[in-house]
Amino acid sequence: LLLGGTLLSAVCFAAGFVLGLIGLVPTGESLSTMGVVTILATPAVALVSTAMELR
Amino acid sequence: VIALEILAFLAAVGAGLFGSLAGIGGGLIIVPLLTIALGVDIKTAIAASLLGVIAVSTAAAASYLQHGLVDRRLGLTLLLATAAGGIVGGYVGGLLSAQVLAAIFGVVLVLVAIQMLRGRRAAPPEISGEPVGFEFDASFVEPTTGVEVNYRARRVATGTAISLVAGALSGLLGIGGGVVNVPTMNLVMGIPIRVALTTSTYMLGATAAASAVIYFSRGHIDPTVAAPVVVGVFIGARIGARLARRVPQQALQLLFVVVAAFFAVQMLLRAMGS
Repeated sequence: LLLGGTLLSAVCFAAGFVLGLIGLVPTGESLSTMGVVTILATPAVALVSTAMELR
Repeated sequence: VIALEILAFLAAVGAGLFGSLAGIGGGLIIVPLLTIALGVDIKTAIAASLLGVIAVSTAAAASYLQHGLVDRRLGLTLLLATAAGGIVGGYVGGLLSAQVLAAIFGVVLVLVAIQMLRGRRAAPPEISGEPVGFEFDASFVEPTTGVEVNYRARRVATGTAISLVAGALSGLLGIGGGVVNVPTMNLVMGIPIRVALTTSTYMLGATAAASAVIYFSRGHIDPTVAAPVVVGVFIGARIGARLARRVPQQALQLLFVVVAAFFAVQMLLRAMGS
């Protein structure tokens, strides 16, 4: 879960970064924002799953 | 904007690589680098650094969890404090001026450099009798020897209180917080250094996420800075992790002390308006 979320956000950030460089700034920013949301959600989701496992 | 993105990416690769090699994470380097060298607003730099911290620590934590090196009970216990501290730090960080943040950053850099020069580590104390109060026993298998190591988490309340400060510093300055968490777990709580390092890494992602949400809600996350920083720090840290065994650790830590001193002076000068 942790690795999946991190990789997904890294892909979004990388795509956003590259698209920004080639001039597709709005699309790049949208992808980067998607990366931000994914990366913020990843630790929270992983924590809930760990807490449930430990119960 | 494109030049800034490329420079931010290169700076982040360097910070992630150097931070990973020196064992202190990239946040302590990337924030002053973005602020001083690239002229990025310090709150935007802190927010981008926090996202980098999440990316690097969650990827590393996934591997540590797979290998059974994380003390999840300890991590979840301390995480309550670090996450609470992270939220407070993120909130207070938004209220402070750039000068005050730069001054705090400069002071923390000096303290981390001093701690790195001292380099104290403790072996876990002997276990005797039953755990009392909040204490608990745990074990892990040391991967280099295959030997099972038993230890007892002691002074849990004190460790939790210090973790609150670590979380607040993380949220305030965009650094990992491991510089406080690892010595606390090792020296105060009697946790073996390997478990302290892995459990701290496990906690950092959620701590940084808690404060990054505050920065996000305040609009301090700029995608044009965040994207190259996250990708760069992530790549740099991965390269650093592969190179770590081949590079002399002591020389790197001394180099870090010099770099930290340089950035500390720059941040303090900035705080004074120079």
